[in-house]
Amino acid sequence: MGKSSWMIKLFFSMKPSVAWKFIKGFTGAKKYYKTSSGNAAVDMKSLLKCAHCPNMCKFECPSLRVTHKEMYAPAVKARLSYLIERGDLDPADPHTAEVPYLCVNCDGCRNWCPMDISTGQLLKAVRADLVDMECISEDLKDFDTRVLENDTIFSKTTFSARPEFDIRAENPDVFYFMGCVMAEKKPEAVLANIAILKKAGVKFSTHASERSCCGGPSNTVGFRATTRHLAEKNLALFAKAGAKTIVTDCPACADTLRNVYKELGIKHDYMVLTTIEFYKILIDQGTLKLEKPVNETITYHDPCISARRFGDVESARHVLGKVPGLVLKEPFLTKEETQCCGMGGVSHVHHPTESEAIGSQRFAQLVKTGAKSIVSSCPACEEGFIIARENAKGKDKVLDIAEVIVNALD
Amino acid sequence: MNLDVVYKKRVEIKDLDGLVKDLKAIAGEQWVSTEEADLVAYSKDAMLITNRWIIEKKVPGLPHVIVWPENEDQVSKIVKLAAERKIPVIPYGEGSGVVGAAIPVYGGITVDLKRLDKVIDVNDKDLTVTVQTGINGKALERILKEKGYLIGHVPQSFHTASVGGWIAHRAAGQFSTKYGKIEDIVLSMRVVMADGSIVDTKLYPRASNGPQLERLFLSSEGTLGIVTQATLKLWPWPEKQEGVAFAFSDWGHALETVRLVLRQQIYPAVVRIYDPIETERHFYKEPKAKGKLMTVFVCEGIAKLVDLELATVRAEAEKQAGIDCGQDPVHHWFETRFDVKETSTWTPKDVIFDTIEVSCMWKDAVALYDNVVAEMRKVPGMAMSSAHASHFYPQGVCFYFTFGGVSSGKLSADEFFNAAWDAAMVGTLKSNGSISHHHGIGIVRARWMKPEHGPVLELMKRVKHALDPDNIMNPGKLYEEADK
Repeated sequence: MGKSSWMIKLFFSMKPSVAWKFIKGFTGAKKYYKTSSGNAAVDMKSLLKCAHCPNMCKFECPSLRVTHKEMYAPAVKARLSYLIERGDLDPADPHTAEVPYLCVNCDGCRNWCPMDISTGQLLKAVRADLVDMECISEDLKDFDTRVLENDTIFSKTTFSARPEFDIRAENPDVFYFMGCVMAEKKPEAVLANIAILKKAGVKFSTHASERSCCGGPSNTVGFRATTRHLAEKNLALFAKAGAKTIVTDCPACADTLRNVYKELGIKHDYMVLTTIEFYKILIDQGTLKLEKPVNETITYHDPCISARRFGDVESARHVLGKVPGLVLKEPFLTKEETQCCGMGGVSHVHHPTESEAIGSQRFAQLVKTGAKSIVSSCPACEEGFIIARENAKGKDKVLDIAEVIVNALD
Repeated sequence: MNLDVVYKKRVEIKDLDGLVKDLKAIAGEQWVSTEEADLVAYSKDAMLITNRWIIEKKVPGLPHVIVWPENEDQVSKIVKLAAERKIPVIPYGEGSGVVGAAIPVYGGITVDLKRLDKVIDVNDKDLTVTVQTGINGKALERILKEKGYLIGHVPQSFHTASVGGWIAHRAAGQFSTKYGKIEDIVLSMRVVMADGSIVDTKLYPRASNGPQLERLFLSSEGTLGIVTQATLKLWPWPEKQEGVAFAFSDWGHALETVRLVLRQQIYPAVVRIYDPIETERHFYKEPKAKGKLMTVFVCEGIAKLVDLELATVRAEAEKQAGIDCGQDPVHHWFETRFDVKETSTWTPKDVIFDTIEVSCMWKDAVALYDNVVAEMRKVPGMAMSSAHASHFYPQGVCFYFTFGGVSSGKLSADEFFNAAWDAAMVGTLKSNGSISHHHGIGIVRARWMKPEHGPVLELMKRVKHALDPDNIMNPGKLYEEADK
């Protein structure tokens, strides 16, 4: 018996008139996949598939769990977005235009989807359409203006204010691409990464004062032209620096450089690695030795992008497992079932209340492990937990994985 | 909005602005909405033909306003307000119902209970958990699993259903042969009645203290009140879980195996028998099952009991010439049990389909399967009708039918859908079956309530009238057909 044999048998048992209607149905489905604007970038077929599902991922959607509103359930977001794209709902209505934005792009839905659909990925194209139609909030317009003016999601000085970040090697093997959030919010982790790379003997450059945001956040909320602009600047800088491998401390930057540029038709052949992927290689090669005991108990939070987009839950554990004396206490929901930190989908820019509520839920799960340090490998997650800690008036340490590893260097 | 409304006969609300203002005073500004996107979001549940309506540019029904209360007190005030103004109230949990019970067929106030999602108490000694009913099933399972417990109620809609929905539809889960259906699991509940009063039923393991009125709310589909809190039975997380699979030559041998196992008071948690069409569809990798009926058993609990249950199942299956198919079909069942792709795959291809679950006593089982399949095949445009037996009792069985076809000849898509449903109901009633096992009545089956119950329906209506004299609680469902 083959996978489709029941269907083939069924087809040949049908009356000719019924079989003909089936053929017409199969060949005519594309009539339901048209946008009113003719925009082919929106995947209407998958949006409709998602819209037709009884919401089998519903429990996992962090946006729904904090808003409690049906409008933000994954399949309902897909249904309403399908109706917007088909011209049945008016995106000039600000409440309607909000629909595709209340998604933190955590891919939790995809983890449970029998059709392997990420609602968040589909919504990115709808957001881009809303940007083109100028149906977006003032917060988002301000965000785009800021990125274009500053070349980072923060201030002009995010990278340039710290000369110690700026490293330039002759013929480097690696370009260390520090994320905007890491540089702005976790400068100690950037310094830790620099120390680790130096200790491992890696020849690397950062060109910190010249670098720009990867463009990932802009792409996520729909500003694709901005992403293209930033991509051009970054690729020019990589070419100038001369390294063939890009190592970044931010999984979202890695996803943008590795995947989003290609999705936008921007080609390059740099190898892009996250710091944890790179450190795992260095450890296995024997060039990075973690020998000094770190007698601490930590818990580890898998960033959504690493665990679900890249399918990598092992690199971080491999690296942490090499730190002598370190005890790892896993949270109840971990690895592929990790929960969003609240910062995904650039939600802290356009829906800060919901973003912080999501972050607080995950923070509470991590605190429950009893570990005194919460460790992750994504600056956005770490920022989310720092905010959650402040809101909870907690005292737990929030660390980047580099800050743990650096303590194990002799 | 460029969409037609199927259920157009909305009640007239004279002062909607005033109503919205009053609701905001109860629930708070941000928890009341008349925004178009919200109204469309709450226009449907998971009733399958409503997916067809999306591509036909239709919405089933629009509420006038949606409110998200935070607690029973707010629910009570909202219902009281609706009672004073005689406005329909439609309780909404997770919207996973497949019979249209959450569709606001006359408009009104949709009351979403998702904010009532707290676990109030877990009692290890009594083995109970008390929850607010807006909590999602899988979310609740995660909380309980972390503490080492389970409820054992795992419907296919587990990921997308609420405890309130389980109660409102008297639901049944995949592991129900062991753990029971929701009526076996619920011990007590808190209900906001149609006049806004709040009633708590007493918690006890069992009592002889007069009619059990809380039973009325099981399967009431929001027509008698809103269940806002419930105490459910718990069990320690099972020590062992193991399955077996056998292929049988016909329904008689497969059903007889299960009947004889249950007759010995052996209750495997999961039992599923798939007819040859569904066996070929789901278990195509198993050559021994070709042309046969795949039967999956899963036993769980303490190891000694599981071993005894498996041995009993094996012995009875062998007596009925069952072919041992090993563990692969069991693993496949676990891997795919929540894979609901059909609604997404077939609807855009203009295929109209649905699932219909009915029950009967053992003596009528084989005849019911044959009759329902035969009746459905008479419907013009019908391409497929198949079934698996999904739930079992020492006294009888539930069949879960699937039909699929196309609008053909003079039948529109809606007419084909209704004709298929009517055929299944005719076949069921002809075989002494009951028209719904666990999905409920809603709007899909309302026209079949009279043939199902006869004079008992009048008794139900009297109860409904006594508790909700102005018929504000989810009108157009269960006892009456909704006007289009």
